[in-house]
Amino acid sequence: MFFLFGAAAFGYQGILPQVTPQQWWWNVLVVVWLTIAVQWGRLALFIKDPDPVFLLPQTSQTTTLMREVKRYSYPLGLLLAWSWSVVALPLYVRLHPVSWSTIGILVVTISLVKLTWFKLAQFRLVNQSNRGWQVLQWLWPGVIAILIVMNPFFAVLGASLGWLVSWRWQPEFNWRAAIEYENERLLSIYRFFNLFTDVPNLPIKVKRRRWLNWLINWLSDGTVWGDLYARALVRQRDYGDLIVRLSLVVGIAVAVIPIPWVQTLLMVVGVYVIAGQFGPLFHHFDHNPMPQLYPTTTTAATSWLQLVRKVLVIEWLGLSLIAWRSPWHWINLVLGLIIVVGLITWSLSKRYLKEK
Amino acid sequence: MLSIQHLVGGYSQLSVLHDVNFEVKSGELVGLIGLNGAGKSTTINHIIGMLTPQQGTIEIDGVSLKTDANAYKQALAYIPETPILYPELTLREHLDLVIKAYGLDEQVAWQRADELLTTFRLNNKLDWFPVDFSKGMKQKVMICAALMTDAKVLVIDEPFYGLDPLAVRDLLVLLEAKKQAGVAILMSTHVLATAQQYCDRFVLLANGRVQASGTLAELQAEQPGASLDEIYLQLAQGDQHA
Repeated sequence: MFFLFGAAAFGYQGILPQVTPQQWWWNVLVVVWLTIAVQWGRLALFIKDPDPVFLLPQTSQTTTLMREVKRYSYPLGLLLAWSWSVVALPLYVRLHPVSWSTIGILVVTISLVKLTWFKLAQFRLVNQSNRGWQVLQWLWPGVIAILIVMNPFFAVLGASLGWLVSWRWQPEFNWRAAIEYENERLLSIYRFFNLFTDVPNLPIKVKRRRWLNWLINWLSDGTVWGDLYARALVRQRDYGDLIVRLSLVVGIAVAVIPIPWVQTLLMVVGVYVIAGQFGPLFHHFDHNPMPQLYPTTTTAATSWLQLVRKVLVIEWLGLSLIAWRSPWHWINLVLGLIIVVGLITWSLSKRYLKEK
Repeated sequence: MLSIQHLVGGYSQLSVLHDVNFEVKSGELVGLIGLNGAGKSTTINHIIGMLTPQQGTIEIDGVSLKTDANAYKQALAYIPETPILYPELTLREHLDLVIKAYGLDEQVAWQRADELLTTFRLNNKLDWFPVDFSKGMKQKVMICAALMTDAKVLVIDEPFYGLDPLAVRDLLVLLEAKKQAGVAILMSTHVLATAQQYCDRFVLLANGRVQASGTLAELQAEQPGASLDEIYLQLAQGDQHA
């Protein structure tokens, strides 16, 4: 995650001097960014599945609950919305004349949009299956963001009107919708961190990915364990998807950094981090006794290591291709394959081969 | 033939089984019966190799896990009480995996599998993920996977839970066919009426020991005309008062 942010910031800083007001298409990026920025920071209800059963007699206290929820969630949500919006400010300044009063107007606009957004969120607590409110949570900030790039005064007028209209709404509390909302919120937080590392106990998500059957066949060494590991890697979203995301992050970082030795260092660290993600895959079948019963002649560790080696070689070749214009590209390609991939798989084999 | 001699075993240092002895001959269906906690699943876990005996031997036709693990596993198929499937494999891939694991002839094995899948009404679900199956359907997958092998010993742990009456009948018919083909079958169950009707012999476990074993006639020696249910309850109550 930090790699990605660092690389993105470096690239952003490099692009800014080239932006001119005539390049109107950058406004689209500003609109999109501001729309996304407002989405950060949700209502945190902290209620759980058993609450409607055990706390049903306390349903009348939900007004107090919502008051506390707002007291906790609003300041955090506003802070997040401002922080993420500030990221777009340098780009906005390159595109439009900006004074301190403009910045003040933008802060007020973002605040009013965020408060309206929170009000829309409360309507999702009434009927979670009604996706209309969720659509509005994206649409309304998008409209205001468009007004911001057209004219900040129109934006603050629009945001004020939206806030005045929504201020008087008082949606009722629905336990089931609220719990569904809260579970979804927590799951999305876990899934966000699962983008960059393995978060245990997430519900298993498996995708068929028939179009990747050729990859499964290539990754497998043709044994029972090889077939199992290859399918788990490609079809389990927790494994293959994570490795793909990490690869993209490292690839983007290598692509935008122009310094050769930093590129090589990023490649080494990136492949090392990706190799570490195979640890959970190795233990994926630990709780399933069936593979232990099969009369197989190869061990799980041997098949797993073959798979890891194949993936790491592809990773390194891919990253070397991205860094092809680096003066170190031959060092990257040859030495990296031998030393980095070889060393990493050797250390993995020392650790895992004795286990099973 | 499955032979268990002087088996002492359990979990970590704790012995749960104490000098368990019994055999399951080829072409025989033996019912393993006992109260909850008697040691049935522990016994089965030792047979399938999930636990290592502290003492005693477990052999299939004279071969143990220690002497030839591959040959032992080749001769054994297992149906667990709770279906254990791979969420990332389709039904077809599960069966392909079993074929590969046991080194079966693909054509012959798939012919067998097709018959089993048709019997259990799973033949149109080959490209489904088992995570989408009901519990009963998952259990049927485990049954198909075990019965399509050439295993000489079949170990089944509480197979009837989750199966509809039609599937129970179909399973019993298939087990009878396996028996006729010379397969030794060890089945743990609480459904005593079914066990009485289909099992050739019984092993009654209590507190990790074999309390009684033999055919129904042999078990009835002290209670002539008693059903397996009555014999079991008598022994179980005696065990509770001990």
